[in-house]
Amino acid sequence: MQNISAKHSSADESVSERVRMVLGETLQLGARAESLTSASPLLGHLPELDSMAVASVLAGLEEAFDIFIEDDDISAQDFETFGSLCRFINEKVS
Amino acid sequence: MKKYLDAARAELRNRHKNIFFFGAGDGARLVTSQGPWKDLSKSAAKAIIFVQPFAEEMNRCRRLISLCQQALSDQSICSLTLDYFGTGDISGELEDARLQTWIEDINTACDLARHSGAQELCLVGIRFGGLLAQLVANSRSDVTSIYCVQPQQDLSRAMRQFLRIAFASLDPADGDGPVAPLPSPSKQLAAGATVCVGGYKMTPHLFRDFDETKLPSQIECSVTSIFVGLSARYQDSAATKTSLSSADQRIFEDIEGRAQFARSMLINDVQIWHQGVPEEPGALPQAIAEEIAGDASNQGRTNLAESYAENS
Repeated sequence: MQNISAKHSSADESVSERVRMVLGETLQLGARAESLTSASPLLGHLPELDSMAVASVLAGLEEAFDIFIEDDDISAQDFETFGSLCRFINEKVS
Repeated sequence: MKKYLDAARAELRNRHKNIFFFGAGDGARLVTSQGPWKDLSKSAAKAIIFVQPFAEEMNRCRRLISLCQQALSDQSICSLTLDYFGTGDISGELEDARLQTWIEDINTACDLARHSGAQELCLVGIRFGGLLAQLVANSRSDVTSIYCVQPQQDLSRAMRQFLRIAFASLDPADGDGPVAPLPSPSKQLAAGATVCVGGYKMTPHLFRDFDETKLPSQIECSVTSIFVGLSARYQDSAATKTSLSSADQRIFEDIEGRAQFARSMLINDVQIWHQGVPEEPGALPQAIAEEIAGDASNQGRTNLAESYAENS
């Protein structure tokens, strides 16, 4: 069990780092991307994250994780925090 | 539109950099041109047609296209771009637009370039524009090459990526309770409703056009796929190898399987169509222009793959 949970934790970390990279690149966050924590609010708080940017981030996440996100797969809550976005991607890739 | 060709040719030749309306009334289209058009028939007689992306990406690409046009003009290469019906600063509403009208608009831009002395045409399509360029190329023997900048996989997916703008207008921080899920825009459109997405009125007709139009099974010219992004995204964890993401690779392989000759390359820069108007132009316009101009120095560009198709 320990091995499995260690594996999950490492996979979660890898997902969050790639999500961070996509957010940082798409929104041009610079050093702010590195300071994002699980509780960091996104939609409504990051000025760069307008509606078009959300579409761009989703396209970037699809490319980075080789997934397809249907428009009814996702809700505004998934973009509420960095952690909620990482959870959403984790569910899509698992 | 043919009766307006002479007047538009005069506009092209009038200045190195020009913006003018081609046609009149509901048929008027805005043309932005750069380069020595009046000398075109004396030179290599190749002209570049920029095919813009769709909706908000189109607005955010205007500066990129203008900078590419400037960089090409500096190398005495003529180019133009034309706003298609119902988009940009022209007459007509998006809700009246159809995909076929946009294909005809690109053909009109090609006709204008030919009427102004171009013998060969190169289409540079950005995002959705790359799909439009593929739809136009086979119908014209004068299109000898296509460049697809960050190409999209197909029209149906391009539409769905655009429709996601709808849900982002809801702010989860607003109000006390949880945000109610939005009805899926694609399901509403499939059911025959017109949907307003980020200020754009999307009709079921245009939605169906995107869903039902397939890309050509063979492309009768060379296609270069230009992928753009900061290099870290394209390197393995040890930063020893540069390669496309698997999603980009799939898009390239699809093009490779259909084109007479296919190439892919990376340009290390931000994806400008996400950014609006950047403060700095970045490497992208110059790198695209150098690639189109045939500059072999390869500055800022990483060639990845090339292949000749056997299906010519």
